[in-house]
Amino acid sequence: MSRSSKRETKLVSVYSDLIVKLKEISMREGLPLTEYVNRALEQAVRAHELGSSLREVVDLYERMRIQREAGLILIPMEVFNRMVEELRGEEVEGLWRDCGSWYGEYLSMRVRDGDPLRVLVGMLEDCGWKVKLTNLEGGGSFKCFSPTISLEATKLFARFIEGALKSLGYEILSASCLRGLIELRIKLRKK
Amino acid sequence: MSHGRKLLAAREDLANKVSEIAKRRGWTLYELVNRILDEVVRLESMGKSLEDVVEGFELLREAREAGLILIPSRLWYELVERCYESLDRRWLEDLWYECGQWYGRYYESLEKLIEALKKFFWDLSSIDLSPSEGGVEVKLFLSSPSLARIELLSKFVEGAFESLGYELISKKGVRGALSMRFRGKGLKVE
Repeated sequence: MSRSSKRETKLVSVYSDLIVKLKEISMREGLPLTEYVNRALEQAVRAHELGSSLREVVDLYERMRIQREAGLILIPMEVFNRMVEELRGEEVEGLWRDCGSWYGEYLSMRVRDGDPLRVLVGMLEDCGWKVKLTNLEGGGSFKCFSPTISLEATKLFARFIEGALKSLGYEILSASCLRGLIELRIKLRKK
Repeated sequence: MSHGRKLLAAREDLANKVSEIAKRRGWTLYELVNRILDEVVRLESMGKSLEDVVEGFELLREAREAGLILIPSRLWYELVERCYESLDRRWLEDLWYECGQWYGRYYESLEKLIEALKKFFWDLSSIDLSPSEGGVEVKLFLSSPSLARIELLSKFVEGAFESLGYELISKKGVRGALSMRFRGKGLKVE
């Protein structure tokens, strides 16, 4: 451990090749290497204080970027739930299915370095759903839970998910809904 | 793959915090620092800064706490248009007004409310608040020319401002654009 007279510092061990890259970046940013590294550590500590690892934070950021590009927007859940409860109908469900189908196609084209299904799950989690997946390839289940989403909104989300999963190459074997619960049995279609 | 190592000076308080986090996760300080810096380099190669990323994360967390959810804009717009056409107009306007009241009370000040609208309402292409003849004027522009959304948004804004102690004195809305003037309750407009 080493201390400077100006500010207390501690020596940390870093990969040499990483230091080379960091030096290049910090020069581009016009910052001394130590300051650049300190800023990075500050952000990592901030992420931890928000209850997440840096990896999770970066993953979510990436997902949000994809969602915004795909035209998703943030809306008040209460207004959404109540409007959906009032406006029922097959036609609306068809629209949600179509939109899910488009979203699934979009993800399969847009997500090149990852799993589009993971992005779909992330999107649903960002909508307030908790998602549980089991054994998807061999005829598994895709379950979503939410304590705050109304029955009508649950049905619409179910159509959206069905559409998206079909576009991602899954066959829907069965589907059922309760308020805040969607349960789909699905199987990966043979290519 | 083996890496050569070098020593780098970091602020001691930060290094200690990172060390605590590493311990809780069952890693060494060396492992965690290198993971963090590796992530920084990866983000930089994508043209992103770690600060932007953490801020983006905080934004979504804040949005969730404020009861907002993500849905495809196409579905939302369609839903709004259909509700506007077929549901009881008064009921719908009251719903948006009440929702605005909730957000006004949640954010507690006009500045925080406007900041939240700018951050979270991604379909607003612009929002501007300025002083106006003994009160304030708010101008909002939507990214699409929908009369239904402008009408309902005006009820939301009215509810939010009224819950913060402002009274609507005039409103002008056209497809995609809205201008509303408010005065502080109890004040007279010159």
